[in-house]
Amino acid sequence: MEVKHTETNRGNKAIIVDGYVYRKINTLKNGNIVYICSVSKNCKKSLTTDSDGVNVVKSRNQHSCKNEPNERKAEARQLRVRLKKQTQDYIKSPAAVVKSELTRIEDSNLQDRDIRNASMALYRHRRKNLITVLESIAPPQAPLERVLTTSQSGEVKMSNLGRIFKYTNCRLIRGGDLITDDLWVRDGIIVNPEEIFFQEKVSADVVVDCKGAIICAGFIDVQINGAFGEDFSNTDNIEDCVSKVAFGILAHGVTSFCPTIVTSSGSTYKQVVPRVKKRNGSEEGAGILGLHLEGPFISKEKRGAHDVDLIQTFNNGMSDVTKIYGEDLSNVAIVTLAPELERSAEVIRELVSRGIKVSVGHSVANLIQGEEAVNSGATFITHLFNAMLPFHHRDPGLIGLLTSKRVPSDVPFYGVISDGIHTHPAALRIAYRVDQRGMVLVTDAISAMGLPEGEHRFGSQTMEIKGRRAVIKGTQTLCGSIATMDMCVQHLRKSTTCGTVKALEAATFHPAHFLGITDRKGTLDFGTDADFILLDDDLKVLATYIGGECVWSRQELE
Amino acid sequence: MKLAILDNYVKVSEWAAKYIKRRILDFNPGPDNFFTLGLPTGSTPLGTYKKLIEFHKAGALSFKYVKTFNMDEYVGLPRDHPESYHSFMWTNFFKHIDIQPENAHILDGNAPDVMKECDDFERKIAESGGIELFVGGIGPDGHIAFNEPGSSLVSRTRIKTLNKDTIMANARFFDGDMSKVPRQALTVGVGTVMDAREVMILITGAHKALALHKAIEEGVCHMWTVSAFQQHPRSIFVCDEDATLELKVKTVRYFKDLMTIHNQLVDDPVNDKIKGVKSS
Repeated sequence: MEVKHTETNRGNKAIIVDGYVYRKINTLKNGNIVYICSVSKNCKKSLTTDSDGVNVVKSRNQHSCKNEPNERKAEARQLRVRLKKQTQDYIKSPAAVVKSELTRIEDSNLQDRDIRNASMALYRHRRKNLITVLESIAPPQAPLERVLTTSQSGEVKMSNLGRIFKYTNCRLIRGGDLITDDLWVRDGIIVNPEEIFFQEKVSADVVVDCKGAIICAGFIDVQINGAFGEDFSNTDNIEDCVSKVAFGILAHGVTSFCPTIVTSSGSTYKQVVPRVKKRNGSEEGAGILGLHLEGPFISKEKRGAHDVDLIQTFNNGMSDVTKIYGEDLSNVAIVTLAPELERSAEVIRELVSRGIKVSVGHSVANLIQGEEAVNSGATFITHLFNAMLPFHHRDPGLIGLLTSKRVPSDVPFYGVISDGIHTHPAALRIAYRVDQRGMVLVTDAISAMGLPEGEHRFGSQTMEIKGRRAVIKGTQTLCGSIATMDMCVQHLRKSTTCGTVKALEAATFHPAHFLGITDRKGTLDFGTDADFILLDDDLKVLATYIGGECVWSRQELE
Repeated sequence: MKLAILDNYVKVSEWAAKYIKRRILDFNPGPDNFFTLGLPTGSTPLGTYKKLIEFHKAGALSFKYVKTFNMDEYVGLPRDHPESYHSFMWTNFFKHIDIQPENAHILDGNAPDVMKECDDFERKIAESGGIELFVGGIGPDGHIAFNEPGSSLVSRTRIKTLNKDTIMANARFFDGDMSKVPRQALTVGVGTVMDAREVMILITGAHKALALHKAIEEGVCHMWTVSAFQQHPRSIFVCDEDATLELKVKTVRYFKDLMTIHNQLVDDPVNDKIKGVKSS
């Protein structure tokens, strides 16, 4: 009797003998394999083959099922099995696989419907196995091992392709209010559940209970000079430096940032600027929106901690700028300059035409010069109150831009360091009451941010971190800000009457509005990137999500 | 006909929601046995929907095996327009419950072939075994769904042009601007609703009083299309005190006396106590 090996519909071993299908039920101690008739449980006809499955050594009982042996069905089954075995080969399209199989069969009893059914089974099988195969091709990276090469930033983890996540039992910032609503995310984008309900007619695949947390868009920090001991303007390996900071600030709720370079030499810029590319965030760190070049075209009197010898002018216009920064400015998002410098209007216009946002700061400009800069295209004021002329009632200086009638009402935006140290709370309140729309929270953090209390050496200087202040050792001179973004938001809410929503918007929607990226970041609107954070009522960060994936969670620490 | 008279809008919503809950639970729906519910839109059923969502959140009621069919939808209004009936049902009801999306049927006002859409809707109702309970409201001119005065009492799902009264009544949702209100709508017919095994009409507010009077105390007339339900074997009208202002004192007294019996239809003392739902 000829024994043909095949599979049952479920995938278990089976044989076809004389047109009857027998499924395997048992392997004996001596290696023989027992099969019984697979038509029904009542039919007790069984065959036993040797361990190779070639010969039938025993046959028991008679068929009690009324089945007629059907050659056609047996062949159809064999075709199905052969096609299924070929699902491993994903290069070939299913249609090609079917065709190649059919050419092998000459005279057969197969009908068209058998062929159709078999190919349908192949499609089903492939679809089911597609996801597991993709995972085996691209193994998911271990979260703690941060491989500092081209990461899968921005790409959705293969296993979560197409799955719909519903975050419920939470409060969202929507339309300027804190409302109780659910957040739906799919493939790293915030989606509209109403459309999914009526158009696609499917429900959420995964429901996450947020236990009453507040959900808002991830924080955006447009001015940060370094952190965790790393200084962007002073490093040999800028890529590692940026990645380390990008990873660390996830814990502060920052999902996108602009690494800031202070006044440096031309060679530093040419080394650093081409190497820091704009990229999406991932579990390896926050996304990079572009570099913020703070200097060297600033005022010598208001240079703050910048190196006086490296300060430049652009008397030859844009060519001086590209001589220092380099020709390719595609990685640059923001440039801070002093508008009182000659030819600043022209330089501002040229930078803006290249898609770069211009900010005025580190300057002794008066209000007229500031207005001219804004009317030429500048849209930001770097750390309001700091490194500019103080407010005077007959010449408000750059601070007067907040209420100037000679500039459009929706510009400029202004950064504030709301750590309670660099800006007095009363000054913060004045700025808030005067122009709440334009307030953008920045950290302007230095390398000591994120480091523990005590002394730290940086080059030739020793810094001392005492509480929330970083001073030069032995003095009271501030070195710079070490506040984290979530601390800035908490301080803003505490110091002003702005309330939770406005405090959070100052760190999310306003910076996104300034950078012109509100279509992707800074809000929880439908269609934007799913970069969001979970906060408790004290505005402490509970978890950070980028592209719908949880990249940091407080629970990991506890 | 049963006429349940409650004190005010809140009590009407509660009573109606409890009735629906009781009917669904008594029916005991399952994966091969769905409870089909007809649903209205507008301000009247809002309170009922809120109460049903409360029951669902308390774990007392699941909509997993419930199919719903809405009465109407505007023609030509985008589905995601805030005043479309799709948006209304999503925001006020579907979003908060566990109904399966493929079981929530609403007429598509933007379908390319309107007649086919209406026929398909009728077919879907028939395929799901007919509607078990159709909940509806009433217009000030006595219309059910968008079956304006003069609609045939045996009509089926079709497209209707809205008359001026209805457009005025709906203008308040479109910033008071009558020109923004859609002129046509797809609606189930009076006959379609009559085919349901049970009909419940909610009527609240003094402005509906005349319509209620014409619907239950006068004859069956196509000018007051809700009066067609006088010929339905199982109909319930739920109203508040204000809506009874045009009714005869005799009618009101008669049905108020029956309230103890009517309340037995909604109360489920054993389960309500377990699930913590307050009884009426």
